[in-house]
Amino acid sequence: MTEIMTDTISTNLQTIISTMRLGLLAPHLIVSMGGILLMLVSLLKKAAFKINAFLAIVVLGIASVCALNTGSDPQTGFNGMIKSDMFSNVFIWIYCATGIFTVLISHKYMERRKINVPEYYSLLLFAVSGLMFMTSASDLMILFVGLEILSVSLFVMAGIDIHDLRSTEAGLKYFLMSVFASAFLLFGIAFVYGATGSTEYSAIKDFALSNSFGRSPYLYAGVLLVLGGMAFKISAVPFHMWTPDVYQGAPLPVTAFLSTAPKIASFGFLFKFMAQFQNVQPYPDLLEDIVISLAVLSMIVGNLLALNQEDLKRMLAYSSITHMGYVMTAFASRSDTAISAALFYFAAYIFMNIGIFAVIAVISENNDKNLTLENFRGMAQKKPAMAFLFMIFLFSLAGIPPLIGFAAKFFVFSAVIQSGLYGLAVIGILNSAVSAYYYLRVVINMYLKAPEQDSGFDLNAIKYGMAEMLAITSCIAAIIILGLQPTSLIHFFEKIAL
Amino acid sequence: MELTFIKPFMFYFFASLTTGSALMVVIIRNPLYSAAMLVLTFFSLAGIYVLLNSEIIAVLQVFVYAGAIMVLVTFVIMLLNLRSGALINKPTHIIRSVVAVIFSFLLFICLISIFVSGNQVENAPKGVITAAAIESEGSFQLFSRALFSEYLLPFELVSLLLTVAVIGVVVLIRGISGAEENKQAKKGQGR
Amino acid sequence: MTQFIYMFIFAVIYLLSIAVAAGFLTVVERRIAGRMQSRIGPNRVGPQGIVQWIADAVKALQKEDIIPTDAHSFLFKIAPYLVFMGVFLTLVPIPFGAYTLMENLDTGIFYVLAMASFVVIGVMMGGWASNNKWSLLGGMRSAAQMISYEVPAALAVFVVVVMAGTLNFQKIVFSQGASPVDWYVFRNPFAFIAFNIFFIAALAEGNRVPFDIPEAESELVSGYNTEYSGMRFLFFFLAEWGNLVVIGALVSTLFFGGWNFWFEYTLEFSVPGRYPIRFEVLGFLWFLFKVSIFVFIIIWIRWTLPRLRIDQLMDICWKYMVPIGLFASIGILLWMYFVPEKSLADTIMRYSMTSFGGLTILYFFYRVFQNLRVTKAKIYANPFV
Repeated sequence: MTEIMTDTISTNLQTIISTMRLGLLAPHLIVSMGGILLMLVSLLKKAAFKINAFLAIVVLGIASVCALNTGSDPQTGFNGMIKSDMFSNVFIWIYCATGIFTVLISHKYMERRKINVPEYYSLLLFAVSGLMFMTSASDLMILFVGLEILSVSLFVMAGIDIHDLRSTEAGLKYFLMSVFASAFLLFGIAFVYGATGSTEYSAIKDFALSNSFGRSPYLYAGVLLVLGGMAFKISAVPFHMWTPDVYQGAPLPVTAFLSTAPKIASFGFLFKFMAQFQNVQPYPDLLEDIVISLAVLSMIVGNLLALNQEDLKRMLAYSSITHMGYVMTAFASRSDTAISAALFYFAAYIFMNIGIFAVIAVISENNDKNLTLENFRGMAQKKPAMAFLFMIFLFSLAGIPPLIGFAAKFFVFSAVIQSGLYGLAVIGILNSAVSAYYYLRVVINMYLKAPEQDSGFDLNAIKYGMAEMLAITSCIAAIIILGLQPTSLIHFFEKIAL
Repeated sequence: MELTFIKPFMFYFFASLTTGSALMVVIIRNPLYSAAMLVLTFFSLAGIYVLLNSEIIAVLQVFVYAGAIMVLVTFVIMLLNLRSGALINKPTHIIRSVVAVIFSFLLFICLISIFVSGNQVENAPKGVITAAAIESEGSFQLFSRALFSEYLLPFELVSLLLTVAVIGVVVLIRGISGAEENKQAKKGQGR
Repeated sequence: MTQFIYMFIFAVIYLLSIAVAAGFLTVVERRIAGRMQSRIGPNRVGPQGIVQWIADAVKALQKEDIIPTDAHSFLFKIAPYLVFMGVFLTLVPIPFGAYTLMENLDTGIFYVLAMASFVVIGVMMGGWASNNKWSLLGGMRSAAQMISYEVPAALAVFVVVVMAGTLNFQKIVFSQGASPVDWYVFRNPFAFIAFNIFFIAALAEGNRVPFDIPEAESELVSGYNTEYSGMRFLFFFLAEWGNLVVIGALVSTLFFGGWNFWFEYTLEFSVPGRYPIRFEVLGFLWFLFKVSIFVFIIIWIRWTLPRLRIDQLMDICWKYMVPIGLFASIGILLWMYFVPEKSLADTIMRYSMTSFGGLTILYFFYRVFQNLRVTKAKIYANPFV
C-alpha cells in the first residue's frame, strides 16, 4: 500500500516539475534568493550595510541578465500561472534599473541619517521580486501575492526611520492605504472568479469573449474593483490622497523607489490584464469612460494641487500623479502603439524621477524634512553645477524639447490621437503646458532670485558620494541621449506585442 | 448521514447569523464587543462552509481567523485597554454623514442591481470538485492536491510574503528597542 | 428525523459523560494531591469521598451568581460556556472504540486544534469582562500562552500526520496497530521527540502546572476566573478537568495506539458486523486505561513541579520547543524517505526503542523501590485512608 502511495506521489511530483519550468522564473528567484542572502549578510554587524549595497547591485545585475535568457517567445509555466514574454522582460529590466539606482542613492543618504539598517537592501530586493511577479503573472492569484510582497516591503521601507515621526506616519499611511487597496482588489478578484470560475487571464478572456463582457455584471463589477484597487497603487485621482504625505515622510531614496516602480508595475499588470478584453465586442462603455475620467482627473487635479505647493517633495508627489495621468491616457486608448509609448514613458520617467530625487538627496543632506521652494533661492550662484543638473531634470519633467520627457509625451499623445481620442490628447497637452509653471518656478528660484541669508539651509555644505554622482550622471546621460535619439528605443518597444 | 430536510433551515440560520453579527461589528461602539461579534461571524461562516461540504475550509476558517487572528486583535484591544469611552466620540459633521449615507446607498443600489440583473446562477461556471468527489476522496486530500500541484507557486510565494513580513517586523522593532538601549546607555554615562 | 433524534440523544449522553468524568477527576486529583502531601484529602461524602463532586456541584448551584457592577455583563456571562464548549467540542472526533465516536471527521486533528480557539476566546473574554486587573492579566497571559504553544503542538501533530498520511483519528489508530512496537512513540526518534513536545505543549495549552501562570494563585488571586462564582465558576472548573481527559485521549490516540488492543486488528475490522461487541468493550476499557495513566501523570506533575515565570514560559516555547519541533518535522520527512516501512533499519529502530522505553520504566520503578528501601520510609500501601 505504501509502495502505491509513493508511486503516485513520485508521478505527481514529476508532472508538477515538468510543468513548472523554473527557468522562466530565473530573475524572480535570483532576486528573492538575493534578498535572503542579504539578510544573512546582515548578521555581520559593522560592514554589512556596505557589503549589502554592493551585493544588491550585483544581484539585480545578474537578474536583469537572466531575463535575456528566457527569450522573446511567450512561454507559460506553473500551470499557466506565469507568462514570460518580451513585455514582462522589459518590465524586469525597468525594475532592476530602478532598484540599482535606488541602491546607489540610498547608501550615503541612509548613513547620514543614521538609518543604515542592513536589512533595508534585503527588503528592497524583496520588493523588486514582488514587482517582477506582478508583471509576469498570468493569474490573478500570483498578482495579488506579488503585490502584497511589494507592499509589505514598501511600508517597512517607508517607515524605516523609526525615530522620525514623519517617516513612521508615512509607513503607517502607506500601510493603511495598501490594505484598503488590497481589499478592493481582492473583492474584485473574488467577483471575477465568481463570474468566470477561474483566476487565470486566458480563462477570463475566453469567458469574456464567449459571454460578452457587458452582459456579465459580476465580471463587470469585478474588473471595475480590480481597476479601483490598482488606481490606489497608481495614485490616480480620486485615489491619490495618501501620496503627498507618504512622499514627504518617507526617506528620500524610498520615495524615489515608491514613486516609480510600484506605479509602473501596476500599469504593467493593467495593460496585461485589460488586453484580455481587447477583442470583446462591444467594448463596455462604462469601463472606457471610467479609465478616461481617471486619466483626466489625475492630470487636472494633480496639476492644480502642484501649482501652489511650497514643499518640494509634495510638489513632486502631485506631479507624479499628473505623470501617471498621462500614462493613463495611453492606457485609455487601447492600441499597440499606446503600449509601446507607455513603455517608453516608463523608461523616461525612471530616469527623470530617480535623477531628481538623487539630486535632492545630495542637496538636502539631513535637512530634507521641510524642503521648500524658498530654500533653492540663489542656488545657481553657490553651486552652479548642481543647479544646472537640477534644472535639466526639471526641464525634462516639464517636457521641454531636446530632453527625454518631451519625446515620451510626444509618443504618448500621438498614440492617443491615433486612436481617435482627440479631446483627451488636447487635455493632456494643455496640462503639460500648465505643469511647466511649477517646474520652472524652482528654476526661477535657483537662477533669478537672490540667496536668502539665514534660511537654516546650508547650500555650501553639499557633500556627495561617488555612488550618487554615478546615478545622477547616468540619468542625465540617458535623458539627453534618449531625448535626442528616441527612435531606436521606441522601435524596440514597438516590436513588443501583448 | 443525510440530513437534507434540515439543511435549508441551517443555511438560513447561519446566513442570518453571519449577516446580523457582521452588521453588529460595524454598529457596536465598544471595540471588544465588535471583536466578539466578528468571531461570531467567522464561526457562522464556517457553518455555511460545512453545509457546502467543505469541512477543510470551515476548519481553516476557525483555526486561522477565530483562533489566531481574532485572538491577536482582542489582545491588542486589551493592551490598549480601549473602552467604549476611550474612542473618539466626536459628533460627525452633518454634511459628512449625509454624503456618506448617499454614497453608501448608491453603492448598495449598485450591488443590488448587479445581483438582481445578473441572475446568472444557472449559467455560472461550475467547479470540478463536487460533493461526490469530496465524499470519495476526502476534502483534505482534494484540497492538498490542488494546493501542491496546481497552486504550488502561489503557495510558495505566500511563504516568501510571510518571510518579508517577519523581516519587516524585526527591522522596525529592533529600531525601537535599539533606541531605548541607546537612551539607557546615555543615562548610564551621565551617572 | 429519527436519525436527528438519535444524534441529539447521543450528544447529550456524551455531554453528560464528559461532565461526570471531569467531576470525578476533581475528586481523584484532590485525593492524589492529598497523598502526595501526606494528608488525607476529601473522604467524607460517599465511600472514600467518591461522590464529593456531586456535593460540590450542588453547593455551587445554590450559590448566588454574582456579576460585578462594572463588568461587561454579556461577555462575562457567555465566557464560561465558550470555554466549556471548546473543551467538549474537541472530544467529537476522538474515537473511544471502533464505533464509539461522535463523528468520524476527515479533518480530525485539525478540527481539534481549531476548536481549542473557543477556549482561548472564552478565557480572554472572561478575563476582560470581569473588569478586574487580576482577571485581565490572567486572561492575557493565558491567551499569549495558548497561542504560542499552539505552534509546537501543531508541529508535533505534523509528525504524526506525515507518518499516518491522514488527519482522521480512526485511520491514525488503524495505522498504528496494537503492540507497543507499532505505536508511533516507539517508531523512530523523531516521533518520540514529537510525543514529548506534544505532551508539554498540551499541558501548556491546558493551563496545567508547570504552565499555570494564567491562574497563579500567589500572583493573580485566581486569574481569569477571579470574579466568577456559582455555576459559572463551575463551568471553568469542569472545562479544566475535562481538558485532562482530552489531553490524555489525544496523546494516547496519536502516539500510543488508541483503543486498538489486539494484534490482529486491521482496517478490515472497521467493516460493520465483522467486529464482535466484546472487542469493542475491551478496546474502550484499554483506551480508558491509557487515558487514565496520562491523566495520572499530569496530576503527578502538577503536585511535583514549581510554576514557571512568564518569560521562562515564552523562552521555552519559542527558543526551545519550536526549533526542536521544526527539527523533528524535517527529520521525520527524511526518515520516511530513507527508511521505508518494514525495512531492516525500521524494524531494528522500533524494537530497540520499545525495549529502551520499557527498560526506562522498569529502571524507574527499581529506583523508586530502592529509594524507599534506603530511606526506610513507612509505606502506606493502602491508598484508601
